[in-house]
Amino acid sequence: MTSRTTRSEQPLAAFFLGLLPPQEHDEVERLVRSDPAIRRRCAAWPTAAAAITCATLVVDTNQVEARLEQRLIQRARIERPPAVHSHRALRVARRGALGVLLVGLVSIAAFFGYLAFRPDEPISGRAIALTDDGATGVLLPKYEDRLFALIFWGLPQLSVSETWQLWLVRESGAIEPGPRFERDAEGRAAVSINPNALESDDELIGFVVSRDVPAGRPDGTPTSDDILYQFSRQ
Amino acid sequence: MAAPELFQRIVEGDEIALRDAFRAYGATARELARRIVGPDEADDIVEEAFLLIWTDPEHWASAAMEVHILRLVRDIALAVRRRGITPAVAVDEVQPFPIGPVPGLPDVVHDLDHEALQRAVLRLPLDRGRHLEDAWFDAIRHDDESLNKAMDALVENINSGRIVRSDR
Repeated sequence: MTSRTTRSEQPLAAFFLGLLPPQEHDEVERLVRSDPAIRRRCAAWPTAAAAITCATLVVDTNQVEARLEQRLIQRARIERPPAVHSHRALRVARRGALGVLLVGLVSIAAFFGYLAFRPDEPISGRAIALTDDGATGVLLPKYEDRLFALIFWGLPQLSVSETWQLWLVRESGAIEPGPRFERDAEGRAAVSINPNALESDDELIGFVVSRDVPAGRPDGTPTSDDILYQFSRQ
Repeated sequence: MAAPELFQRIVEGDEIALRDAFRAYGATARELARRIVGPDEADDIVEEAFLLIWTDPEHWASAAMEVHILRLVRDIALAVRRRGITPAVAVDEVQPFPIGPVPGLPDVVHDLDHEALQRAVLRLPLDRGRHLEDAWFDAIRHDDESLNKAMDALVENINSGRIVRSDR
């Protein structure tokens, strides 16, 4: 009991709540690290502090806007390109999307012909879900020839004023406009990247797809609220 | 999905896990930031906190990921409010929390019955509850002994079984 009383005089809660100035913080941290009894007593304090948020605030978990999520994912891909592509992305694609892909590949093989893609060449890109309702895309890189093409399927119908826009993401974080493209009647589209776009000291590291309203947006960087997905070149 | 699994997938670079973490904890994190700095900068603060964890998860977080997210959001928000700097600049001033939370505790955001937790906080003596709120949201340091006792009392309430897990 004496020991407990002595410890309670230490600014332990203030330490765990991040309230101490640097020097005092370091002193208490040394104390905490060196004393197992203190660590046991305080083990749940960080969790308890976070629980105060949940207990004190009224949080509507449905209120996180998709716009914020898209902006976070967009920046995350630039800061640290994803190393794992979850199979969940494929599972959310609508059933039959892969069949459409195969049909689409055959039907647009001639289109890609001039890019030296052969119909029997394996797809080296990954299919990526663009939206939760089935719009999907795949990047077909031809690294040795420095050529890139992208195909999409399941693209929803846009309004009259909108078009699909591809953006090129540079290593510096700069985002520059690439080609605009249209979907066909079945929601498919194919886009090739001008090889000249690759000739830059600022290396191309990814692609972004967005709905674009050409009349309402000056040339330059895209706004973040309509970005659907960034393909990482890696 | 449990926080430890989400954390592990983020360590592996699975961006779907980042999205899931944002959907699980983003709303709570944003309300916390709004409570401290108001609505204008809350979204940027939440974004910076999640980006820190995504960029170097093992440095900034642990299996109890929601605890770290809320802690980072709170620390960035306090730096913004105190010094009038932007969230992007405030990130340079925050430090990872050095003492790992207890892995065995239930997830704060997911597993706890929030209404029961609210009742537990309200059951604290008025001055203790206020001290905890002042310390967590506003970084006001009341007397240390009172603050220590308030933390002990809250943990005792959480661990006493009076806080039940929600049926998810």
